Amino acid sequence: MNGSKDVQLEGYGDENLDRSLQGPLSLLFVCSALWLVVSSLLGAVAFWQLKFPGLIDFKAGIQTPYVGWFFDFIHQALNYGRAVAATKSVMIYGWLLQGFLGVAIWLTGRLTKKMICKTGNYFLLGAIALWNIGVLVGLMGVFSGEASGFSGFDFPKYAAAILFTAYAFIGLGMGMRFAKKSCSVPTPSEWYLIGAIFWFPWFFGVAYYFVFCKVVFGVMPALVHAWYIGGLEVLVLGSLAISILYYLVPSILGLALNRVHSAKSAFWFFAFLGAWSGVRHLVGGPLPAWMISSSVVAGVLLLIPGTIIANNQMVPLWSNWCKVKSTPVLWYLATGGVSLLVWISLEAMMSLRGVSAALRFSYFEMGVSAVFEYAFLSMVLFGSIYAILPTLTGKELPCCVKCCSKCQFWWGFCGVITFFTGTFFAGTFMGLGINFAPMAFVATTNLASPFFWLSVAGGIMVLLANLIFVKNVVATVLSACCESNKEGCCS
Amino acid sequence: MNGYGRLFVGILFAFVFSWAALILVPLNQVGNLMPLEDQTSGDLNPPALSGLAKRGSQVYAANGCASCHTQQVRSESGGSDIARQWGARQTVARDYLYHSNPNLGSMRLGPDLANLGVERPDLNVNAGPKKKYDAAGLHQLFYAPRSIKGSSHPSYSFLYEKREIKGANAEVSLILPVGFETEEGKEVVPSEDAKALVAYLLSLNRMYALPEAPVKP
Ligand code: HEC
Repeated sequence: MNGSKDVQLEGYGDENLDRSLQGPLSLLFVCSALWLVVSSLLGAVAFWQLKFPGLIDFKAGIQTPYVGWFFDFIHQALNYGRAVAATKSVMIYGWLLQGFLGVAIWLTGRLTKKMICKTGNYFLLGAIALWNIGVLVGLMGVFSGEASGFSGFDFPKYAAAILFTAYAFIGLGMGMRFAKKSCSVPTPSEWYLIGAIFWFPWFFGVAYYFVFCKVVFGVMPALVHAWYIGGLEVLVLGSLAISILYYLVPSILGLALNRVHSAKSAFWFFAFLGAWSGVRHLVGGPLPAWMISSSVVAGVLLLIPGTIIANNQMVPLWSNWCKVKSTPVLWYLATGGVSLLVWISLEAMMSLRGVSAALRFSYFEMGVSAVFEYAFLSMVLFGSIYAILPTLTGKELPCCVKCCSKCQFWWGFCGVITFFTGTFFAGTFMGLGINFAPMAFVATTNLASPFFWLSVAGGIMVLLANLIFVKNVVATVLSACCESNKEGCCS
Repeated sequence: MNGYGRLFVGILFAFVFSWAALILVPLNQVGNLMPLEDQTSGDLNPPALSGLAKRGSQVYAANGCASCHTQQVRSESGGSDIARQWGARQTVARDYLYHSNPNLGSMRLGPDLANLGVERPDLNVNAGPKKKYDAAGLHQLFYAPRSIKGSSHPSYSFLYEKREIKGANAEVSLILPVGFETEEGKEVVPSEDAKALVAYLLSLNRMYALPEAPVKP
């Protein structure tokens, strides 16, 4: 296949095309950045309660009739269990999925070279607004005690329905533009992008049916949930991140992707193994053994496509190290590329019986999801958004934003490593303690304590990075708005 | 069919393949499980859940108890769950037959609760006499966790109502230990949700033997 020619990109060319998306995508990126901060704050509230379990239990102290209900609501809404559910869901649906959908919309424009008409743009704006309403409604649902209890799919039924409807508009729009694309061979970027566009509604639909429609009882809903989370993580979010990596890395470096043959087999491996790998999260659980073992095997084999994909990104980056050093966007993308492989290895390790006996259900789980959600997905998303924003506004990023983006990178990078190290040791010690039956259960918590504070430190750094990010996005969008107002053509 | 058509078919196939194998096949395998009759006692295992307990399972899910507690006992080779006396045997699919959400859980910051309804080891000493929870003990844990020695449990006091005593104390009002009592003339009563949650927790019992998961003597 002669895909290598297709990947040649004109750098940041297509001005009109990109700029036609300015309105919807600015809204989308600002909203998703805000959700990122909301999620990290919720995470902080949850985490502190592990050390100070009475943190928000005001009931004992405050009995004032007028403000009493407010504190009561805070206690209800933000107690550890609900706060964790809210953190996770806002992280996934508010920040990651929304952010990557924005990237996907932009990428669809680039790859199909098709403008969205004015009505299409209004539809898109509406769909983005609806998506955010869905996230907000879902968050309120979790706060008020209507969460489904399936981690990562916590939003109540009505919120999930809103999200699905909003996605239908966005997904159809993207799908239609690809359908109109007549000739030529799809590029690596398109494989993953088109895959994710279709996989998301399919996985989501099946999960919705089994979790909310209560058609079957027993372990089936839990099985479907694990399968859905696997699909969402690998095939939807993972694919979208890989898709933008395959586009941005060569185009920023001004190269063509040369390893297209192995890339193609990597994609199909990735698709089939990824769709199969979700159930490994239930290792040791009450399910037929063949399902879990085959899923564990799929997860381990995922290392093959993972290595090829990471290699496809890292080889050109490595050989253009000078350019990488001077381009912060590439720092983010490179970190993401490496973290993809790290995450696949960690997950594969966790699903092995010996390891899972101690580490499964421990703090280490949090560390692994931080690698996935932050070091891999968020890093790629930060980089992509910093790369995309100037193409929307048609201006370079403001100086202060450029500067702060470097600063954000280091806070985020060091933060996630610190957090991971903390949870690794906390999880290992606590997990080994629990696995050592003669030890009293309550005593195992103390084993984790010192390292717990290390992860708190990491969490604070990450929060700081996220605050810088939201400031950067808002500043860029606002400065573009002001300038176009001055010119008298606010488009 | 051009390259995009082939791509779409492949994408569809990857999905359908995993859906058929991991959802459709198990649906016929575990979706059709039935309770079994115990040869000696004639009881059906697992026992059906009461309506109140079903509601309690939703309260459990909505409050994210599963972010700290699991409800799955792993086999002896899969961890120390049985050695910790969290159960007598591995839990299997049939154990969850009547649960709309099995609440398998994702973290163990607290102990496993798959068999909370039966005698269990003390968390502070592990060895030594076992204890069995009753409704009053659980209500105390959720309303005033700090009144229990060594507990760092989150409080769920919002599931309870503090109100003036009118007439005699309601029979369901909480008995709180010294130092944690409510003011004179007031009593604490559990809401419907709290009652449901406790009924659910006390119903958790997977100690019976099943052919696919025998209890080792
Ligand atoms: C922050 C994590 C956390 C959350 C959330 C949590 N628990 Fe706990 N739970 C613990 C810990 C830790 C213990 C161990 C004993 C203690 O500290 O009180 C425990 C102990 C228990 C026990 C006693 C178990 C035993 O073996 O003695 C029960 C019952 C219980 N929790 C039920 C619940 C229910 C129901 C919920 C949800 C409403 C819940 N827990 C939410 C952490 C949590």
